[in-house]
Amino acid sequence: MDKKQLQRFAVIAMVAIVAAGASHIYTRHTMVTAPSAPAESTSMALAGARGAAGAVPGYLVDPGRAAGQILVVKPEDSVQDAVARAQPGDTIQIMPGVYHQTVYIDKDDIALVGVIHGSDWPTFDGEGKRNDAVLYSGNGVRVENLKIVNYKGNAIMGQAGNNFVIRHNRIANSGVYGIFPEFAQNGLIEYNELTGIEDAAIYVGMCDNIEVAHNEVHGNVAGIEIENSRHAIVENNTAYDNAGGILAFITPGLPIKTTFDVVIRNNFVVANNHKNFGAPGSIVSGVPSGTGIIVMAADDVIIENNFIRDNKNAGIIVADHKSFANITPDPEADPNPDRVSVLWNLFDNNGSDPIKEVRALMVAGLTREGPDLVAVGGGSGSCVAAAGTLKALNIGGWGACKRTSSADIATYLLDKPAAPRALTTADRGKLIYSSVCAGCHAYNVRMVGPPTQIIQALYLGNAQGIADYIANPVKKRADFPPMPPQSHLNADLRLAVAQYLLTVAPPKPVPARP
Amino acid sequence: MPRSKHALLVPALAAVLFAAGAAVAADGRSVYLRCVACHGVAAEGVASTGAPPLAGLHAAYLQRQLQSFASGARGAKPGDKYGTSMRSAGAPLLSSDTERAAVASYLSTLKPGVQRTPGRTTANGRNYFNAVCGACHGSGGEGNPALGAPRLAGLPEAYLARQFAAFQSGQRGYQPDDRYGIQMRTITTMLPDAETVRDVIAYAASLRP
Repeated sequence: MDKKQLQRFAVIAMVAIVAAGASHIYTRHTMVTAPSAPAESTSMALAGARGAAGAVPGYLVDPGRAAGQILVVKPEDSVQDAVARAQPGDTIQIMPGVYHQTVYIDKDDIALVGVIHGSDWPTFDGEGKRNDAVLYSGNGVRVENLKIVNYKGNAIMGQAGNNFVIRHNRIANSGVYGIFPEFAQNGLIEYNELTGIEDAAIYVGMCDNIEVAHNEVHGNVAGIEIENSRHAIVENNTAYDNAGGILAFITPGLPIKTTFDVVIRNNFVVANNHKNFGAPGSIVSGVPSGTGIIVMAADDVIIENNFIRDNKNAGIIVADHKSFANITPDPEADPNPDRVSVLWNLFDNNGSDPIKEVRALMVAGLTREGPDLVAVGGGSGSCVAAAGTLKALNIGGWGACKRTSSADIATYLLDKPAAPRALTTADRGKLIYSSVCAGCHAYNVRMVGPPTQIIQALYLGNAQGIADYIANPVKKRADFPPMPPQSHLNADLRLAVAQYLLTVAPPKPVPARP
Repeated sequence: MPRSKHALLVPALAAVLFAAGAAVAADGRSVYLRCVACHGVAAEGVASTGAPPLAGLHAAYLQRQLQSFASGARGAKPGDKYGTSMRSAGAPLLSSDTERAAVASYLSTLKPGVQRTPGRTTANGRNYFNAVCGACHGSGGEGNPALGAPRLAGLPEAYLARQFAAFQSGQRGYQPDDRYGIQMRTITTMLPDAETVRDVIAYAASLRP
């Protein structure tokens, strides 16, 4: 490290220390004030924190909303009963103790807030039997201060719920996705810790306007993944000991076809060398262990001021669909990553043991040094700043960045809450497909479950058969995670989504641009 | 059809046959001796006859295929040379459901042969195998009895290619009540081109049972 780099490292370290301190203070603040005035304190604190930083405040809670009641739940109580009693605006306060439960929140503006006494947390324990700890489809839902362990599917999953806050939860060994908002707009995921997740610990799927900040993810296959989502900032997180640290992907075969405007900044991305324990044949199992940041097919991604160290395969990989394992093309999705800006980052000791595809590029590039940054496959308009300060491979087509920082992008959160997704009878099957099924079932590739086109072929037009199966699934495939029961959806909705699923058509080729 | 003949027999004779059937069930191996000329002594398959390896395939799958050959749900389409041989020479060697069950059960206990000619594998073949085939046949091509999907790993590339082509052309999966065959016919349309078909089959053939 030269003197300049050292100075920059010192700045990063100070920012991290300040952030850690802020996290501590802020958490205490939330814990102390949440029971008395939950919604207001949150929105003010959020606005305040951003205001203090000179940023545009994002509003996740309608400031004009009336204060609700507080419903206290103890371990012997059913949280679901409290949800049934709750009115929009209410806070469900969960006392310390162990809860063997699954909660489904289908109402708007409900806060599920744990009370932490010293080291005693409210703990949701799925005992390896239950699929999900918290599911929500309401808008304006907040989930915080929960410990969640031993679920099979998801710790916290949002199903088309806008304006969410998922904050300060500790999640371990809880299935395929840890925190998973799907098909949502305007949401904040911060100060969570996640480990032992078989796919992405924090999985932002088909969302818009998302902030992922101050989280700690380790021991997962993927740490943080922004997938088929637009306008997302991933900042001030720590991702270590995952197979892949931070991912920005377009996954083919999903209803949303693009990922763009993603900012990945001020993160620690360290030693993501964990063995990849994703289900064999799945997309995530193709993430090469030892990779700090992966951009696959996503556009307009800014990577700035991250501390990227000790990732054995590579610091950053920018890849197209063709170059990535277990991906088959989607004619409606652009397979190339375009306009990726790698601004100044601190790299150290990446690429000490790269995979063979990267080694082949090293041979072609006449170097023995593993890369901080490697580009594979197509893509255009990408740039790198201070190219001389990093070990880069195969970036011959990249220019020098004109942009020097992402400071002009303070937040992608909206300045007022997003409107709820329209839910008419006609398209409710489609909404459920996008917000529930497509979390695991892509049309023509294997994400987690069998692809939609295979389900169509197996059921031969029998929608009722699908509706019956998803209410009470039985495990059929040894090398796939179990299908979770969708019994929180009523019989009409299950049939509606099954009927819709059978009509999903193959992606059609998009005419080439002139 | 053997089955309908049985239905005509007087109850006493049926009881005798049932007893005989039970004895056969205990000895699928001796029934299998009628098949060795084409499929090989260890059911390892014989390339020159085109007869596939049968050792270690799932019993339910084998039994279903034997019944299909017997009933005409498989091998009865004009131009299906191997199917015709199996229907004319093979299926009649087994005269009852009991014998078919016995031989299927016996074959399922045999150890599958080790892959003799590892295929050329490509990323394209792997990707499409995982995206399309793996959902039922397993990511290792091990098959899945719960879905009626046979093991593919360890089967010869030429046999797999022939069966894929048969599903594609409608020489298999042509009967309206052949649910699994119809599923496979639909699924063959999911590989985009002939090169991908070749890649996927080479990948499947490279998997070790």
